[in-house]
Amino acid sequence: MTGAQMALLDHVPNGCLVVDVAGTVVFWNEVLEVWTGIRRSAITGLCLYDAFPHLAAPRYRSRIEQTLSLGAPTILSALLTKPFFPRTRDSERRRFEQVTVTRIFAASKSGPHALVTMTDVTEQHERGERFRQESRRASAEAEIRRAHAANLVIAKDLAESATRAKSFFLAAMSHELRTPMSGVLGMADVLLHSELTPWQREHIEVLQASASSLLVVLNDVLDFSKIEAGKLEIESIAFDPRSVVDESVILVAETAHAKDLECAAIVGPSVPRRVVGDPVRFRQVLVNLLSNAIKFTTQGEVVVRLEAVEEGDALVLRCAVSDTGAGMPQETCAKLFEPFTQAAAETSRLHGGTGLGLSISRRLVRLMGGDIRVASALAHGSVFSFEVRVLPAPAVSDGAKVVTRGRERRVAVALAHDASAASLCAQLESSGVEAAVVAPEDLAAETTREELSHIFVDAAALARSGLDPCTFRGAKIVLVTRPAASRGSPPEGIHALVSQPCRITNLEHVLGLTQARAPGAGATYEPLGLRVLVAEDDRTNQLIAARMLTSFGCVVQIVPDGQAAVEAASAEPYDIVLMDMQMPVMAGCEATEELRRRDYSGPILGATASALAEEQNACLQAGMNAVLTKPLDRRGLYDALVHWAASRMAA
Amino acid sequence: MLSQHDQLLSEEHEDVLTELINIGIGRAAYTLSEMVDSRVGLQVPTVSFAQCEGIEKLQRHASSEDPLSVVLQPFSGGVAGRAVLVIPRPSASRLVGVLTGMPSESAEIDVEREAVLTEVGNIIINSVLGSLGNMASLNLDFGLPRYDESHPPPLVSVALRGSLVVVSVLFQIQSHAIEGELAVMFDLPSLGGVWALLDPAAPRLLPA
Repeated sequence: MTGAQMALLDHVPNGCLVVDVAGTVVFWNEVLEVWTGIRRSAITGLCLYDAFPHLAAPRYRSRIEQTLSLGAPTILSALLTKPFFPRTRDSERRRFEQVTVTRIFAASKSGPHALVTMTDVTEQHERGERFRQESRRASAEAEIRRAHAANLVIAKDLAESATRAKSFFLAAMSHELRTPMSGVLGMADVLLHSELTPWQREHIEVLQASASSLLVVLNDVLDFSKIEAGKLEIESIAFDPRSVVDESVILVAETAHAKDLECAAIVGPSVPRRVVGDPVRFRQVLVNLLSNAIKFTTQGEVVVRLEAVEEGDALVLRCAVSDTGAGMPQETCAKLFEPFTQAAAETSRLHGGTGLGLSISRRLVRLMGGDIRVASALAHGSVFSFEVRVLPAPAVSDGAKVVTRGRERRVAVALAHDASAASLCAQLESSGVEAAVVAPEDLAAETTREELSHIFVDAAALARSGLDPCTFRGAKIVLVTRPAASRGSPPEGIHALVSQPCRITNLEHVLGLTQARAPGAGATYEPLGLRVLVAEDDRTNQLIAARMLTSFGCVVQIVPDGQAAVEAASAEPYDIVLMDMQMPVMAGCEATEELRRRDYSGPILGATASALAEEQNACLQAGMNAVLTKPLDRRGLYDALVHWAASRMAA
Repeated sequence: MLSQHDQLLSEEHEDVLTELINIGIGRAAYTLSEMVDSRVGLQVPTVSFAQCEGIEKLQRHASSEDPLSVVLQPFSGGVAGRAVLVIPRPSASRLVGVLTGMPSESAEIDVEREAVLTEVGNIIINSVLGSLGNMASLNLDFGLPRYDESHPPPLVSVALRGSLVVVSVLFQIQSHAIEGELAVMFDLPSLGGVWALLDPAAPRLLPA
């Protein structure tokens, strides 16, 4: 080695040594002196493999010799190679070296030499080791997190299935409770339609009211459970939104009037007479809002406003229920639609209720493609508004007839309560009559100026107008009263009594636009004279159905199971078959299928306590024409009988 | 393209190259099997001709989805070219694990593992090229082996310009599910020294 070569290798920051083909150390650089504490002068001339016997192993010696003979460099990696030499300094620390052996020709005459270069990669190794430990820990933690997440998923699944189980349990329980409840309500209804002393009537009315309240709670729980269990389905059938609003207002009017509240519905002209949607759920939401409004209002009015807006192919029904109640602070409004939440803790105690009504309403409205909100100001009352999405339906033909016939009539409306006047006016307008609200003071003058067919006036307005019905000639006076006062014959000079709120059909009857279907406010029923077969195994339900049907002037035949129903109906056709679902021997659906197989074509109406759409669908699939929900509602049953008997005639 | 050059590369030429490489590969496999203490399986080397831009077709790992660990060592002198060890990264990671006794936590290859693979490549390639140099009496100059990672196809970046003769062999260490490929790419014009061995006057292949 020349002095220049050695100087060069002394400046390399790696350990360097040079051996000849015999393994004799010919060079030892300064770095190695520092690392090993062995002076160059002490090692030069010695055989490497004698001085450091571990290097005589083939892994080192053979490969160094291979490089010497072949010329191909040799790489010894740190992880597979122990350090060539022990260190003096910092001897505790485990060292890592990357070694490269290359063949050099140190001088022109000398043979090949091997240059062994050692790079200390201890730092690099330690960093790598820290990194590996870090990533091992990270992956262990990630594994723990994954396990946790998996546990959470399992816990969530368990919780959800527990919730579902609870919902199913509630649904099942409510169903079981509804069945005896229908017995209680049905029997109360039957009793109320019999000869009773005032004392008996009063007590049975309390019984009926209590049972009805309980049924409302049960229905709430059932609905809520069904929604929670994802079992609630929204129907698409044709209905008249106006009559849904009217019916809802009529339903709650008595309660409102008992608190001396005015209750009115104003339906905008944009609202069509027929749309396709879910009338039952629409009505449920509306009645819930109305009931709440009446419950929390002590004086003033509760008014429903209904508008329709076209949105593409769909129609949006916008409904708002405003009251003049106490109102609520903003923070109460925010949580009002959460389940089991009421505006104040004492609300439940004061007013009762499950606290589910608004939560159910919101879910129902959302299922119908809309939403519900509340605007409220303390001492100014609240407005609950919601919209639902429906589809337009083709207009009914007889509705159009009413409009053409009604155009000839002009009527005046004079009521003490403005919203009620507007409501009645809108109802009359929708019947095709030209109606105008007139101030009571102007009524007398108006009757002389205008050719009026009818004057709708309430007692207060009549008094203020100065008109005397007994001497007044010209337009017919219709006295608008509260429902309780509308029964019985009108006093002298009065053409008719109507209750406010009033059914539109009733108004049309008073105006002479239609024949009366049911006189009065629907309290009595025109005899139908139908032959009805009732298949029902439960004694109570048999009795209720029989009493109701008899009161409609029907001839009733009762059979205890589906098999008997098939035999009876096959022997002689009935106008209507009323079929229970769960019966011994043969269930309702089975019996219906059998009858249809035997070409029985008469209407078969199912009666089920289950409000589940699946069961109702199963009934229709089996060949039933319609399904009634138990407890049987007197009006609903009557209307269904009329409808299906008429369809049978038409067929 | 291939058919045109098939004429340049006669069966005899192929045989010479295959034999030269085969002996070296045998040694390399022995060394590797000692290192991993397992049997190393070898396939018969294949000889093919390629333009460097077509080289990826020769790589049987080109179809692999895995990134490839590549150790490349150039050589020149009596014959010029590059020796390349190609190991799919999962195999490479397992190989390092077997050699170092460090569990392969991931398929990632850090700097220290790269060095181990470089050494493995170095041992195998030296065995092959060493026997080639010895037997054909070719004076070879060797560059330092270099580690690289590549996504298939791996060899485009390391290929020489112009025409190449590629001798490649697949190996596998079944007990550790390790597979790889060793390819020696010769620069065609520099193969004259090898063809000289076909001259009947020249000494037959020298013993190793």
